[in-house]
Amino acid sequence: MHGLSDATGPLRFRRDLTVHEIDEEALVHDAVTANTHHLNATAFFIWRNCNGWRDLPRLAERLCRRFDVSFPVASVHVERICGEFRRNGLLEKADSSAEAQTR
Amino acid sequence: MTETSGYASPAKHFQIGAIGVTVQSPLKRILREYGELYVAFEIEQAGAGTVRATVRRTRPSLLHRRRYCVSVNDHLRFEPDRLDEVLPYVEWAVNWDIPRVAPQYLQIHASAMEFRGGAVIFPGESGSGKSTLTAGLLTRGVRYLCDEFALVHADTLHVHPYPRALCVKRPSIPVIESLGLSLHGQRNYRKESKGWVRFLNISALGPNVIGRAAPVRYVIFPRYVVGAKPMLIPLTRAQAAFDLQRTCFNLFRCHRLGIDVIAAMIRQAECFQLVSGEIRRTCDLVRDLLDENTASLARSA
Repeated sequence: MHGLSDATGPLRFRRDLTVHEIDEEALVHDAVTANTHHLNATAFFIWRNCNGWRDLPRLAERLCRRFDVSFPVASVHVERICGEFRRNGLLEKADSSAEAQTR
Repeated sequence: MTETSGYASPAKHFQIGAIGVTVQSPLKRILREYGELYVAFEIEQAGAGTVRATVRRTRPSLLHRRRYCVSVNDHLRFEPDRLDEVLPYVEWAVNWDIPRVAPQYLQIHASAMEFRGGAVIFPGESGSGKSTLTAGLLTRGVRYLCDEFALVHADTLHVHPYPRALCVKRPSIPVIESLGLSLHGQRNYRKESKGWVRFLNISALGPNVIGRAAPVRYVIFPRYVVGAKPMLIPLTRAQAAFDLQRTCFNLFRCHRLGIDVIAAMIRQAECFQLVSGEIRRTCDLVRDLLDENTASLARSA
């Protein structure tokens, strides 16, 4: 298991996935595993912001602004949802140059 | 028309909505019964892309009882022991082959109907009540496309008719008859997954019962609950799309990726869960929804 508690650094969604945005939600299809995932509005917001240079605290900050929730609540959601992304293989390693932007 | 050529068995050809079917068998009863169910769709010659089902009977031996071999396009699919099992298996075998002969359609496990130029699909597993609901809505002026799957054209996103005979399980027969619908003939058939069934001959119900190809306007997931108050619960389109892709028979065998078709199709649809109970109240609720042509809140009958 890849809990996000032990994952540090920026996150990035896999760029080879097919994403269908439907209203504020999304279907994400992984051709490698032939699985499809449903992302609700919160999950899809986080997903879109996993752009290779935002880490967990930055994602939580953005979630606070978007959904008007406290930082601790947002952090819990971000950690749980990114954990789901990672368990389902929807994230990839951000490259070092992108990571450097955050430092 | 029944044809015989050389040593081939007699055959009958049908164009059942979007799907061409040829049934070939030396067993007169099979041809007669299938032909009676689909007499309105019989044609003289099979077109291209036709499902060809054949039924033959094996001889009994010391090791084997007599069996019936149901094949499609020369692939053996089923070997029922009893003659009253054959017709449902022919239907099943034909369904099985549709993705091969008609890959332009995404085949969703759902009943499908058409109302004022919009299609309504009721996805659901066997037992969800979709066939009974479909029969009930026929009495409310909603037109029939299919009771087993929605054929969604991958390019136009229209649902096309495949007006096969509606298959009614024995516990639903009194419900269907209470709606004033007459089942076909007197014969009961055995279907492996459903027990005893009878058929409702759609074309015998009247001249305007079968719908036309139409874009999807509603996706409604029925769930029959004994004694429940009928209720429609809105679903997000993405949730509905996710649930729909799990009910596809050919998600990866359609000529476009099924998930792409569903995502495009769902954008123009309103989506609900339906808790269905007593058939008339349930049909009234659905018909009201179709009449209003808009819905965003949970409704109850």
